[in-house]
Amino acid sequence: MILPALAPALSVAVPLAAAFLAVVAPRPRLLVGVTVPAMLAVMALAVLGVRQGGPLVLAVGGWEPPLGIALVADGLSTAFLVATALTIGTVLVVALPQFPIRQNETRAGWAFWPLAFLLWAALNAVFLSGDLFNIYVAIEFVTLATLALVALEGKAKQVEAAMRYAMFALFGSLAYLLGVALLYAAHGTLDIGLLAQLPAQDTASLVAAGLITAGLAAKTALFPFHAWLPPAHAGAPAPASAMLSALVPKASFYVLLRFWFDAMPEAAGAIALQLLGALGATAIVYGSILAVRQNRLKQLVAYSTVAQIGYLFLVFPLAGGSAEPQPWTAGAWTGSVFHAVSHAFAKAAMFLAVGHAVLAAGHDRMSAMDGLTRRMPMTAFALGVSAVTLMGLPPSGGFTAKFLLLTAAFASGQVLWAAIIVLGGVLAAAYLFRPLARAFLPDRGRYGTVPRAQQALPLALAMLSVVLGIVSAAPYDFLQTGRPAAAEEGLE
Amino acid sequence: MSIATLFTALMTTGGLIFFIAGSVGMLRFPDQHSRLHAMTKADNLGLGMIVLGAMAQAGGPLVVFKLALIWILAVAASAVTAQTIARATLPGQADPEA
Amino acid sequence: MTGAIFDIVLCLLILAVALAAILGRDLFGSVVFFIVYGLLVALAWTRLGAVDVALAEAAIGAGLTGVLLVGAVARLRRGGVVEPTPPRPLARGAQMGICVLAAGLVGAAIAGLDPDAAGLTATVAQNLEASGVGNPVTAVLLNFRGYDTLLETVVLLVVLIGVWSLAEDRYWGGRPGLRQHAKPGGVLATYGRFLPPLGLLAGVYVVWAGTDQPGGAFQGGTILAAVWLLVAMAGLVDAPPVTARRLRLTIVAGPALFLAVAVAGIFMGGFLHLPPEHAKQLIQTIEAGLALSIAATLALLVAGPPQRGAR
Repeated sequence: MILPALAPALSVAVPLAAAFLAVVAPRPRLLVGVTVPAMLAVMALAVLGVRQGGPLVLAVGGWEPPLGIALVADGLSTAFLVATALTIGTVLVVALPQFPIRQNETRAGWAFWPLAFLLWAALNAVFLSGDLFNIYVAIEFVTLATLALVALEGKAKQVEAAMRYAMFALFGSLAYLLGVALLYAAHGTLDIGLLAQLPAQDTASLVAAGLITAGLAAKTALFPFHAWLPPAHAGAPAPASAMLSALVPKASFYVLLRFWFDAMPEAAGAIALQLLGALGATAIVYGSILAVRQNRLKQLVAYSTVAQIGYLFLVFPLAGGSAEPQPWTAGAWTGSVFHAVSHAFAKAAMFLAVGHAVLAAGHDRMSAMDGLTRRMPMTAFALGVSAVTLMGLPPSGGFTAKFLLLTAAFASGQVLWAAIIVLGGVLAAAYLFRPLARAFLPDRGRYGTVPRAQQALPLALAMLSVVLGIVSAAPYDFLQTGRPAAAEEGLE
Repeated sequence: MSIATLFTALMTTGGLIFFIAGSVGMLRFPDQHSRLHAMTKADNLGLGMIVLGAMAQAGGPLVVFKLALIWILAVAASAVTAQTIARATLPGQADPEA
Repeated sequence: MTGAIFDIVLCLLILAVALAAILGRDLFGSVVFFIVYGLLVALAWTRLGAVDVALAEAAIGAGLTGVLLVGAVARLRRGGVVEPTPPRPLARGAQMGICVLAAGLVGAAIAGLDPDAAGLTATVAQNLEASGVGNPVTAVLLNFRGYDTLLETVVLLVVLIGVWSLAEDRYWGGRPGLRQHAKPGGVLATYGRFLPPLGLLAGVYVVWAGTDQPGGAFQGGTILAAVWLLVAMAGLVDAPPVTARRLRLTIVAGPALFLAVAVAGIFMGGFLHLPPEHAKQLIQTIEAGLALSIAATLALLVAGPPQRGAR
């Protein structure tokens, strides 16, 4: 089969071409109508190819690493590619009426489209790259597209939030780049697959690992680098927030995952792994407490992201340092990926649904939720379903994720992490209960509404996060395709 | 020591003296316009002497031509810059940055 | 010996200028020191034999970034912001501490590296023949790691869209930047007529020479952008409105051409594959397109978002 082999290149080329067209000939309807189905077809090809023949590897330009750059689509990258395609695909359709191009082109109505397609291309570039310097370029590309989307509302407050994000993100980029330069100087290659075969206990490698981790943690908004995230994500227009909160932190987390599990599995010291876990745990608790105290809907959803990002980092103490794979390694690793993907669907659905509630009410105070179950039942349902995933209740993907992480925590005897996971679920229920309870209250005053077809889209995305929990066996197996630390079956 | 080397050494030293004079002038002169004057005039001459000195070491006519071009462009640029800055700092100009 | 003394003095100067840029209390002064820093670093790259990097550092690191920073300071002053509030002593101390720690660790790491490691230099040299060009830096940038460069040129486009989207809504459709006021017969206007022929020649030459000597689309594009900006400052040309189709075609032409070549490669052996027998022409075509778009994008970045109405 030759077609699946094209999937990696097309995953980047198609959204890039769409972005160029959106700059020159702004026809959002046509572009979304062609690009989204085309990308879904490319994703189908990728999944098919990976399932049949294992990881798809493309040496760009025919130059094999270390000279050239390899694009690698294994189970992990394909999962992120597909999650991105489904999320952004839905977001773009929801965004169509919100960023229209009429007779007179407007600033945000024009700029949103190329930026959204460019962000898509950039995320795909990160997920496919097998080369640490290429990842730097791709992640910088993600950052800059994000920066522009954060500032898109154009008010002083959003520009300030964008500026603050820029400071954190640029610190992250520079630290990462410095680390990559040290690795190249020490080992003469930037390819992840080749690095994995080299010993990595020298000073340069360890300093590089520290720099890379610190830089990526800042970009992922891991506590204590989280301060930029809530104003940035809450201030952007809802469709932009959906992409930023659901996908952008996952890109840098994905690179961390690749780095610690694929490139340098042996460099991980126990203390570093526990530290990452502790920061993640702090993020879960602290982010949730802050979320409980928010009075603005979008702020609340944004603080929830700070908390949810914390779970991702539990993978390091639970599965890291895999010189010798333990029986629980695969479960913990897969659990964190499940969490990343189901959180992507749920958080995007939540931001889109909140965006609709805010559109209907004209403001984003808590009272925008009043009477939502009667006025806009589908939106209310979408919020409820995504809340189920965020709290980690069965049968959602969030439940599968937390179940896998919990099992690994008990199996490895690290009970403290298990306690944090359970506490995080309770806290999520606490901060999500307030807005959801108001949806059942009677409403006072005037509210607009949003067309039903539009309301259905966030609901579909929220349902996806539940479907992921119901049919978790197939994605579980798929994720193991091409995993380097070929652990045992794990704990099913 | 060949004549060419001697010439280069002399010219470079002379050029440097002019550069130093220009820099001292920029630091010591009281107002914007006289500082500009010291800076551009002295430096143009200083650069010219250094370029002449470098020409003596050049491998062929093409390099000599390029060195001459560098001097001409630098002189033209500094003249225009000086003029623009001077105009911007004239009394009565409200906003030097506009 | 003389070389070593020169290098040591240069290193000390770079450190001193960097410190002056960071510790300076005056924003404008810091920017000036930053520009000087860029030029000294360019000199250091030349000493290391990396002329390509030196050119890029001088043109983009010192020149273009310097212009952008000077413009930012001017804008802050127009907006009434004169100096930023200095960080509190405790915060400053913490920042310094972190920087010193990081620098120490990096220093220790570098001290442990093999000083004779050559990275991939030999591999690049072995494959230079098949790359179609004689300058190894261009071979890496446009062929071996052309995918990086493709993404980087798109990054420039992202930045321009980001800058434009900072415009006020009422000015959308207007021309980028402020109107320039220059006396028609004045010195600047005359210079704006005198320089372009030479400047264009230099810019195009640097792009063209890039295949076999130091140079290329980024460095050449910066020179071209500078020429255009000078002519614009002289009041002789004005940027088209941001909504103009021809302007938008110009900024995407380079990346789009690059992407088209990359995708066409799929039919000739793989994504971004440049067949050795046509590689040179293809690289020159891509470089020409990129130079055009890079020049336009950089010039528009300096001009800034539209700040005046459509007419």
